Amino acid sequence: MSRTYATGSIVTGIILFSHFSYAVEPSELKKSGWHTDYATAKAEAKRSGKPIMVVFRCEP
Amino acid sequence: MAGANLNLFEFDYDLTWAAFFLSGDEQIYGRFGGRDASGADSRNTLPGLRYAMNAALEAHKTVAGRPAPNAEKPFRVEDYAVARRARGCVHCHQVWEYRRDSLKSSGAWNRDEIWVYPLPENVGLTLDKVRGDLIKSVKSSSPAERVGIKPGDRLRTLNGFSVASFADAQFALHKSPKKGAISVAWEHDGKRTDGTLELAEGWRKTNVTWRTSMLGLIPSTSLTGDDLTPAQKKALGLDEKRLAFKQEQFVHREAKAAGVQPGDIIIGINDQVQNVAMQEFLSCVRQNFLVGDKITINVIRNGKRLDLPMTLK
Repeated sequence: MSRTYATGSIVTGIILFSHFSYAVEPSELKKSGWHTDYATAKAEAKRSGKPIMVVFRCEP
Repeated sequence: MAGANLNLFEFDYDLTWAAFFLSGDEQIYGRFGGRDASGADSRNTLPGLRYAMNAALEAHKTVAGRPAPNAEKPFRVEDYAVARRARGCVHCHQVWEYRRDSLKSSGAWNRDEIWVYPLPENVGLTLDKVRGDLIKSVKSSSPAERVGIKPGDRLRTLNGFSVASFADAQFALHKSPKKGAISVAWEHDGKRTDGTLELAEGWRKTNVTWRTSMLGLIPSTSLTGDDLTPAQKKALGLDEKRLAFKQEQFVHREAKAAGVQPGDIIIGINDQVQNVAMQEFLSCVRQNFLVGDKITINVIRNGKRLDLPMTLK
């Protein structure tokens, strides 16, 4: 699964990683409109009235 | 996982990918992401994700602006005592491990804690991989069949939780009791029906051998060898379908400690007759026993039947 699965302008997207070895660098995610900080995503969702999609990705 | 509120983001922490749909006020609309023992993406599809997202958007239109349900006090992985001693990042699966440690420390752990996130199949439901609320098949004599659910019906709620995905259904089942009844609502030809699923003791039991968090709990039988041919079984007076394999020359130290010798014919454990091949037998042991369990290996050696006690490691 990758970030491109949630490209809808209808949601505020956030990906949270539980591991340092990012499959996608945070800077790349931000360019695509994703957040990596939950508080920021939540604030944007409240401001815009859009729901949030939170993705947890863990690579054991 | 550091910092994440586990009371809000409650999911199957052995997954490598899980998604939530929620409002800015933290009202959860739905979930996506799940798997079974056959593979990490065995239940995930892109169209299925789209379907779950659309369901979440519909929910958002309906409930946006309403106050979120009374949120529990946040609980973070760092709140587990054992996590405070850990260094580095916290992997998702470690949440399960810390939780287990915590329960064991307080004396509240029991074997039932292993059966997390049961599959919908455990209650007889196979859900469509695209339309996650569409019932693809219903297992004969299952709780779902007994309540009257049919293939092609749409699952609406399970144990009080809305369902639009496999993950929603799994979460609802995770929150269900180990025995008892849960509510279910479904649509047949557009007409809603409410009913009750009766869950018998043991319904939560699922193949957990894929779970990283449980690697330390799942035993190895330390036995291996070649299956006997039907003719060889017949010569020993065994049914040709019955489990019977010849222990290879190398005997693992744990099996050796139990008294297993090269050439022993292993015909089962705990006097249970199993009509399976060796690989299936070993898999069965891994699925049904835990490290520390005591078993008896049933063996034929030089034509004589022996029972060898063993503690699984």
